Amino acid sequence: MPEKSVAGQPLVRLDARSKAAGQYRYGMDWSLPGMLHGVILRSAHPHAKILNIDVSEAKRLSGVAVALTGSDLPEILMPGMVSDQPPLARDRVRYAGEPLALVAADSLATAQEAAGLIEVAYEPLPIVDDAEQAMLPGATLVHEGWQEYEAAEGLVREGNVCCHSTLTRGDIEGGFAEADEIFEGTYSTESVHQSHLEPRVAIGAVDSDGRIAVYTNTQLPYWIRTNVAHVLGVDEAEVRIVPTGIGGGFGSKLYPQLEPLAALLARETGRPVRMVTPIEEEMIGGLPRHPCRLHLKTGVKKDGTLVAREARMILDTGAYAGSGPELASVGVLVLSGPYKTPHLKLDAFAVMTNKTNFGAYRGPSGPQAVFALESHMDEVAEGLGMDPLEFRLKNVVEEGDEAGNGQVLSGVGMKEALEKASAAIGWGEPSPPNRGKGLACGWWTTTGGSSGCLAKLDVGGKVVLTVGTQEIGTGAIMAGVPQVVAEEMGLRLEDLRVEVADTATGPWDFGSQGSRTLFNVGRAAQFAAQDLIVQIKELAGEEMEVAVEDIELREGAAVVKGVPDRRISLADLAQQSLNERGGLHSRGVSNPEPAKYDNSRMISCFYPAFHYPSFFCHAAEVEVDPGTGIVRVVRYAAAHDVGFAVNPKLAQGQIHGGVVQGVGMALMEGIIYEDGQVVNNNWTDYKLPTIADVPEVEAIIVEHPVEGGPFGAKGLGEPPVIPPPAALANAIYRAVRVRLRSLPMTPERVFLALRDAN
Amino acid sequence: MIARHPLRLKVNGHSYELEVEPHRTLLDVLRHDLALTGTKSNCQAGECGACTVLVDGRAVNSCLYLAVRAEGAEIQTVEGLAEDEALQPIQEAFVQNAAIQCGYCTPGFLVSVAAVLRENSRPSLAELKKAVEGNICRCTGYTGIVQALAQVADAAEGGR
Amino acid sequence: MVAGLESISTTMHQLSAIGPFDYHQPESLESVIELLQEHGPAAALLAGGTALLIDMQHGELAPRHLVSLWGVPGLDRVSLNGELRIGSAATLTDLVGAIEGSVALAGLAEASLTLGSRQIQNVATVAGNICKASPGADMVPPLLCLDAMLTLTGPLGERIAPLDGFLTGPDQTALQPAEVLTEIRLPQIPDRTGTAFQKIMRRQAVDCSIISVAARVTLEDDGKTCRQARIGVAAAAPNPFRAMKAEALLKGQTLSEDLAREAGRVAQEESNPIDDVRASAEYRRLMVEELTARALVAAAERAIRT
Repeated sequence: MPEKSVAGQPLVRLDARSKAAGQYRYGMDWSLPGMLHGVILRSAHPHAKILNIDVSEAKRLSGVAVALTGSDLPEILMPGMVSDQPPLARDRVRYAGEPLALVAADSLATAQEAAGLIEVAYEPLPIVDDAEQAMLPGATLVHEGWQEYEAAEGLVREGNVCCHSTLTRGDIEGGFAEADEIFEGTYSTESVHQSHLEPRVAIGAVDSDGRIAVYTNTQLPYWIRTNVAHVLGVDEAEVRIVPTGIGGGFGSKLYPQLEPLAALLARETGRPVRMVTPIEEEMIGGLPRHPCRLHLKTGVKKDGTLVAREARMILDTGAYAGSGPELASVGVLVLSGPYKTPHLKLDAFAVMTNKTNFGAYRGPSGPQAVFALESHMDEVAEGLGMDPLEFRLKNVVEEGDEAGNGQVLSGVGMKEALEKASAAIGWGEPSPPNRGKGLACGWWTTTGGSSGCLAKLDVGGKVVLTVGTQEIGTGAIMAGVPQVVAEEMGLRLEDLRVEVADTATGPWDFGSQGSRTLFNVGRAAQFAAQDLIVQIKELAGEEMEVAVEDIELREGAAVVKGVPDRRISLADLAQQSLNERGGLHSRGVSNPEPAKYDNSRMISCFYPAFHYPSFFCHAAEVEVDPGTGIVRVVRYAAAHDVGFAVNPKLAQGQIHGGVVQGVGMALMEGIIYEDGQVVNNNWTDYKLPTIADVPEVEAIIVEHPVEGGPFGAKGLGEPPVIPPPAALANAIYRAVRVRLRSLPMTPERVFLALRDAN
Repeated sequence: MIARHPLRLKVNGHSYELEVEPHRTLLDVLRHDLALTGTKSNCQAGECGACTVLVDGRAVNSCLYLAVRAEGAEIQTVEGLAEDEALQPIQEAFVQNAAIQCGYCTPGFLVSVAAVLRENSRPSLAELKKAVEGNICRCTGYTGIVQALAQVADAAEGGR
Repeated sequence: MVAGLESISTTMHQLSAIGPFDYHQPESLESVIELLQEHGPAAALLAGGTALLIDMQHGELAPRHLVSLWGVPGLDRVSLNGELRIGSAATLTDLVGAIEGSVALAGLAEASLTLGSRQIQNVATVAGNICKASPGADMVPPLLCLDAMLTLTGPLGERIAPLDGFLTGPDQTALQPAEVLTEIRLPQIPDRTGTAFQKIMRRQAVDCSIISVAARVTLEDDGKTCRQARIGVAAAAPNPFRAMKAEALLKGQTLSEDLAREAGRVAQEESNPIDDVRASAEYRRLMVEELTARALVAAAERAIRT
């Protein structure tokens, strides 16, 4: 492969300087003339019949433009794997914080005051706040009419269980019979919130042609469009979603929350209406990570060979199915592990309770499943008297191995990641008292779905890319994608510009999510670049009167091969093309081949395979203060097989950031519910890691390329958040010999566990 | 009707004369009345640090600072860091060290660091880290930020 | 609970914008007091405002009048001249600047530097932390250990009261109507005194205390025997308190680690914490013991060094 000069380089992203200068425009920075402010009245009860909602007082308040309740809307349910959620609650609320009514007024203060004047008569119902209880026969149903909902075909569901996914491989009973030893363990995790620094915001507006526009900091404009059109009862073409700059998403901003409501208020009032979710509401009504309980049972040979694994994962999906069904199948794939295991029986249940609709937080299902699996792996190693590294090395998958679902693995850097991460923290070297080291491995997907990209040669020889999804901070859109194109076209990164188009004008895209953005948008852009190169060469060939095959693009010019001073600059070609051809334009699409898997092993699995999978290992060293239970992360190394790092510095940034979110989940974060109410819905009592809480993380890039991604790249955005809770739990165990099986491992929990052990 | 109060501010070297209602925060006035949206807004409780600005050289959470209190004060926001469009060394350090991802926290971090540099032209890395404990970043895991701060500390060490 | 018919009007989780209120910035203490008298319970006194504004945003307080101290000259002064005097508009940063380098006041500086972020320390006042009277007020334990006296100025003039006893319950103080805490005074500290502050949080910076403990040890001339000890504890009772039984244990003794641990156990018995979202009462009690022992040892080490 020829030497690359742009792709693979640690270049400065295109948006860095405007962000450092305070000029970058986020969703929160938008405003439109004549804008009203909309607020949501949310349910006070976790489960209740709504007897009446009286908005008359609210409407009388001076400055109030409109107050809406569910009964002002058509009786519809939002689309999804299970269509079970109304845009505004009508006759029943299913979680404390569920939207009940909307007010738009000429100031935020007036809107808030008006919302406070709305009278709601509730008839409280018994609540289901425990997912395991919710699965028992006779449990209160979160949705009495669950059978009537439209749901995806093949979805196995019953009562409060909105999805039961199963992966079966081999003969589980036979497997356990073959095993020399069997180990079991039970683990639990709490919900953690994405806590993006920029609040969720949407401005609904009526365009001059009467269509509805929504300006929103979404990660997935086209899914927002579908939902807004659905609620408005219009064709999708009648809706335009304008994706604004985003101050962090981490999956939180994938699903509609404010957008359909802001659109409704705008249509109702004829004026722009801005809605923002304050942190206090975000923590009760957002889409945080699913709380989980997991039970694992593993059969193993005396020499450490894995034989059989049974697992049961219960995801609390809250009051609505939401992403729960897909995440149940993601859970079973994660639990099948980056390990060769001939016999598997893995069940995951997405279960409804009277809590917020838990959603897709970076690597959804991953940290929960890996916390259980990798803690359990250490417990098995301990039981066998084996070193955790040795035990893992013996069982990890390698090139060409078959995963639990039958997919054949390629580009497998698991072993290298394991070796490099463990070496980086000095695995095997003795630790001083109260210090210990822990490992955790995992594998993850590069989500597919199509992406389009438009490219044009613009004045001055700049290349402008138009994409259909936003830069959410990773650098995929503002560095990775243009680096791929610059490499293809012999340009510098600064010769590229990326425009994020609205849904009326831009290419379709499956969004900035699922570790897919650089892979898919980059791939589409690469194809668009290749097409544009052909057009440029044709034009240059005509201008210079040489054959197209004899031209190459480099240093911003079309150059005759072997005759470096016979050249014409892209700037001149651009000008020529504008004068004569309406400019040069191209398009590229990405729609990668999904991974093939063995369908007969999977039941009710709606994310049945990990496409272009990546492999990773984290290694942590902690110090525990036995007098207080405070855990300090001393060293941390994370090795990720990324295929090819298009921008190694930003790839490392993804690893650093994911690790610290994972450290937060491991040590301090957790949404606390009491009787169905969140009691720490603010950043005073829900704690995020500060600069004082984390060591510098050593991010190690491993490159086992895959066919399909740009220059062999595969997804990276999500995986770094996955292993930290397990790596830290394992390190804590080796430091002080106590096994924490519940998250978060707060000072109190560690201290009390230590006390109970002694 | 609540009486408005006259408010004279000097923001990033420019003088402004305003009239504000007393319940309005400095954050709100900067973002809405002066259209200085570089200062970011979220938690309204002094927990995230996105709204950090300098008031007479000291870093404060502008979400918890009544605008009327800033009467006569000199305010500096992220927009006032760059001189003649050129990024200052601390901004350049954040850019070069990939200390910026979504960037929403960046203005607050930069302003917190600027406060230290006003008092002490040769701060240590530890002092700089201490000064940004009240600035939450959810993207970078702080590693790039620590590297940027180290660059600032090193430059201060070598440059003077 | 019986699921019966219940009609509730509620604005659950509904945030309110702060205000509206009238804002007063008088230029003398007399005017401050007059305004507080005039508006009575409808008025709130504004010092740093970092806690007040949050309470207002959450609708917990809705004063119609805010009377600020910022216009009153001299209230932001901190002076260390034998005794330490802290004006009621002085911020934590002002305090830290004035006591930097004082070993005897190290515990007070530690408390200031771990209370919130730098941004908060630049605005929040010592007096505000006292008058907010929260169970976990971190400035109170070290001030209790240093025998802080409060100057309270009201319509009837000025009175001096010890900090110990001033806090009368969560969010409650012994302030009379229209009375203002104008100054905090710490009497001259004897030689061979060390102070220390210890705090447990859920994370390692910028967090409310799960437990905080301050200790002060003053040694006899022999440099070993404990002449006087003070232990202040926060977040373990309705208000921060002095663990006097534990203090009594130390007087006249040589402070060993074992004795410090024993004092911690006694302090634990004197505490009366609750379960809340931040920690259980059980953990808090155990941490009173641990932090008391640690703070005493650290204070004693400093006392020896002076």
